[in-house]
Amino acid sequence: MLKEKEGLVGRLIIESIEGRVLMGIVMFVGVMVLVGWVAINEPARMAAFERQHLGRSIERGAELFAANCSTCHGATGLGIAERAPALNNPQLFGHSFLNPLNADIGRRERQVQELNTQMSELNRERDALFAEAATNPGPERLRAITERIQAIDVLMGTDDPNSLPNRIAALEAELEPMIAEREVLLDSLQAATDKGYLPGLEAARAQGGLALTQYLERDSNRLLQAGWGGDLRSFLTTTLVHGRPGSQDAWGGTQMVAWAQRGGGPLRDDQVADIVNYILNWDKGNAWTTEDLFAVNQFTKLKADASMVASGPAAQAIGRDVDAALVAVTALTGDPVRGKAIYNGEARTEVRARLACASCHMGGVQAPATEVTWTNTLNIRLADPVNAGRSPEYYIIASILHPNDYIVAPYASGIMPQTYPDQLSAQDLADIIAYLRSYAEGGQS
Amino acid sequence: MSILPFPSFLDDVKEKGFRKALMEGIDQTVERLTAGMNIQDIREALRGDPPSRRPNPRLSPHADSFWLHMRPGYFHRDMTGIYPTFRLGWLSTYFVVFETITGILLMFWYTPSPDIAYGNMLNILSNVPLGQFVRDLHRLGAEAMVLIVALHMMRTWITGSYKKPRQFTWFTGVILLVLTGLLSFTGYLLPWDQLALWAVTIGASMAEATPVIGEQVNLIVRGAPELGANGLLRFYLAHVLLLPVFLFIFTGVHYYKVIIHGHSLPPRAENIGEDTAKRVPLDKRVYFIPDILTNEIMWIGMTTFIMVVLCVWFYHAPLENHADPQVTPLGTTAPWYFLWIQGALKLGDKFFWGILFPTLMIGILAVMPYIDLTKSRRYAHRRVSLSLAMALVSFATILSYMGLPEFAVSTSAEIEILHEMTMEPAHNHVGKMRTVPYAQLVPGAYTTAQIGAADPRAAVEAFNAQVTSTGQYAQMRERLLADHAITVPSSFRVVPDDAPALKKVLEFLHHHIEARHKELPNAWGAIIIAEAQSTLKRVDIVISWDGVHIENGVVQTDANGQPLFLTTIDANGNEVVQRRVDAKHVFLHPDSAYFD
Repeated sequence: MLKEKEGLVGRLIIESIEGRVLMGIVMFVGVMVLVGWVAINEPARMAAFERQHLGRSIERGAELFAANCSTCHGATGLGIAERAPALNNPQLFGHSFLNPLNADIGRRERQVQELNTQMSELNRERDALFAEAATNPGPERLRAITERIQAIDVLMGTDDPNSLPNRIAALEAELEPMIAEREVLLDSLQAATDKGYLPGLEAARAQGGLALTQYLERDSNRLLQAGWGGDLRSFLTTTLVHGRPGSQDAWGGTQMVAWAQRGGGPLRDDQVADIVNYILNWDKGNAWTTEDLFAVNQFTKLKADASMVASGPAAQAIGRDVDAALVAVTALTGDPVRGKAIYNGEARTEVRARLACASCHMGGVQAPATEVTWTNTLNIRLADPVNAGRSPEYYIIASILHPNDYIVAPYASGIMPQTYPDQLSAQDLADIIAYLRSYAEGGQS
Repeated sequence: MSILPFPSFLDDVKEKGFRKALMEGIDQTVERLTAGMNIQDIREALRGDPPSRRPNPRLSPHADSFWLHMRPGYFHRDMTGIYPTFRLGWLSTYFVVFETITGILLMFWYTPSPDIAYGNMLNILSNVPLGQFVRDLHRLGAEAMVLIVALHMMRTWITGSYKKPRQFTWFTGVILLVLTGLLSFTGYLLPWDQLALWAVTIGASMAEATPVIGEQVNLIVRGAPELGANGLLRFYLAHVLLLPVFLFIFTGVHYYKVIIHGHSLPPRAENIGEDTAKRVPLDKRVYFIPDILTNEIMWIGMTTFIMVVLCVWFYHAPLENHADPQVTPLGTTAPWYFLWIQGALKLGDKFFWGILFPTLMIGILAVMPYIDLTKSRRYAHRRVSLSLAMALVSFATILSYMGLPEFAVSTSAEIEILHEMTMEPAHNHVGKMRTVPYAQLVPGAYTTAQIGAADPRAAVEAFNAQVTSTGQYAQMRERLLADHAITVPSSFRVVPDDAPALKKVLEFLHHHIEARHKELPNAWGAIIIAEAQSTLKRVDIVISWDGVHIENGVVQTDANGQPLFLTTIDANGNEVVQRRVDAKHVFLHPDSAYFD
């Protein structure tokens, strides 16, 4: 017979029913107290998490910026001359060194404008009254007209200190030193305007007056300059997601491409958000100095080149068949000069597309460098057994038409656009190949 | 005569007076709700008095109500304590319910899409009151449930409770064990962070080793050649729908069998070959109402309290960076309960160790009661069986250890050290460099040459002269610029006195380089801090060393035991030792709050 076991092992842990009920109640109350305590602390915890997440997002954004953006926008975001504009830039954050002076000038200039408008309206009214008086309107009406004309004369005269001309003169007297001060300030910003700050300033200065003030109000703020309706975050996000179609017109062939996966680029949306957080972390609020402005290497360019607009009939696109493309290309003679123009986005293809191969194929960071493409194809790629028996032309055509089929370390798959079969004609391909080959033949420098 | 055209409470009031009618009405309602126990019966039960009327009203809920018809009216007293069940079966059931409730709460905030899932996690953590708490409960509950179900199986094995007539109970139990593992595994992917993606990628890597139809199986499991939108949706549906349905069904079957056969008694409590679980002597009966019921409610309170305490102070579910199929983190592992398969995979053939072996293990477990036909459940008579149980535990432990990245995965020394210094928080571990307080990240270049030197300043001066003359500085500079470094100072300096944490990390770097001096001869390390933004620092960690031939993680030596150095031809045509350099960097923001 089994010996009776006692205590914890053999029986209910708590033998008495009251004990169990009490224990259960204590535990449930304990749970409720703890959950309540957690709940009370939730707002603080959630806020701390948001801070921490933003901090880490900025760190990841810095990493992504260094790897993807710094080649063109500079390691410290100050831009690279004639390559890409600065992001670490007071203009981007809407900090104007001309304010509040320019705002004060603008307020007065608008008052002068308003007073001038009133003056011309009063003039018109007086003329009308004189004309009416000439039609003999009767004594009552004539008395009213006379009184009104006298009142207008007081407003238009110079005797009353509150008359319109006196008020205008007072405002203009106030404006004169302010405008002089602004001219000095504008002259002092010359170092920045040389790098593209306030494009069109010369023309606006020549015009002067309210036109200059309005120009400065608008163009010293990047978002107003671009006519952007949203805030800076949405401006940066949309630029990263969709790129800047047409930006190669202003930037010598390098285009701001779409970076987000949903725009056809390599980055996920959370990575785009990380980069935006990193860029926004450059904001210094009201602490921006002119030193920061002068440190900028390159400001935004607005100019679009009309000569880039396509003309002539569209040719047949090459399609996806590499073998057929090779036959077509071999039959043609390539022009390296036109090839280079297509490669750099300076000329359109026969299918009226504009490529910007050079945006990525430079320096060998995001994609293989242009200069070594032909020699590496001959010496390294074709030595790979996978490419055995292929010609360099075949390799290059296949790489353009099917970029993901063969990826060279350390570059990533999925970066190069897959739209070229629809954007290039046989002649375009022949020209690009001729251009790439020209490096190996010493024809390029 | 009735006031209303049908018999009603008002008639009762007329007949007996309001107070009495009300009390009787309440009493009847209670009796209906409890399916047989009125207020007096409940009062007696809770006082511990014997029932005052016959037949025993405490048994009628078991006969007439839905929920209690599943539970036996009384238990054997020997089965009510800790031994021999350790309450593991009850705890497993508790966690099924616990995970269902916390899981449903989380479902309100989750969308199974790679574009949104991770953002949902951030939202749960940053914007949902008690969101982190419920997620912690669910994650901890999942891990606890795997452990408890496994222990439950071991207990059943050890007490021999799988023997006749409970063979099928055991069989369904093995199915429940597999379902529990799969539930935990499918849930692992849902946060869509690096930890999830790579642990599941490794765990699911066996699928393609299936013979003949490997590719198809892989496609069915992952929804595409690699885990993506389809894979996540499949794992989600398996996690919230398919597997829970099977789990509930088999839990029902399993418990039904437990009740049909009765809880198996401690091995010594009955004669060999007998099964007396259903023949409980009157003096051994512990009635469900009130003893077991109050006991279980108390246990629910206690277990929940323990879970809450753990999640308030001791455990937070991990969340790493967004899943990135292009970046494989160093030292990726499967979830701990699948480590044994990862370990087995290192033994050789993917099909044999990844598919056949686990299937065989589970299969043998499932049919064990039909193979082991011995009658005795006494420990002394089951030496082989118990030895096998212990062998299984040891084997699983060893295989699990082999699954860790420490075992038979060789990474070169510099990569490991740089990883230790810079790694993002993962597996409760974070790169040493990230633990330095932001204020101590003083811009400048620092070198391990100052560590241990009697005069640090002189040591750094000498080091500056040496790296400049040997070209090691130029090599480092080139390496860092290729990494898009912001600035590279032209000389090194001593760590300021007000940056003790920075100095400690420099020491850490020094010791790790020293510890691997065979692979990293004549090495030095450097930490270079630059200001990236007014609230962001960039820290580059550099290791420079004389290259040596390394094969399979072993430094090759010549006949004299001297290491074989990598050599190169210098500008003068002389053969010289090839100097190597590697670097890695982190960006640090004051708010990012990494903790060691």
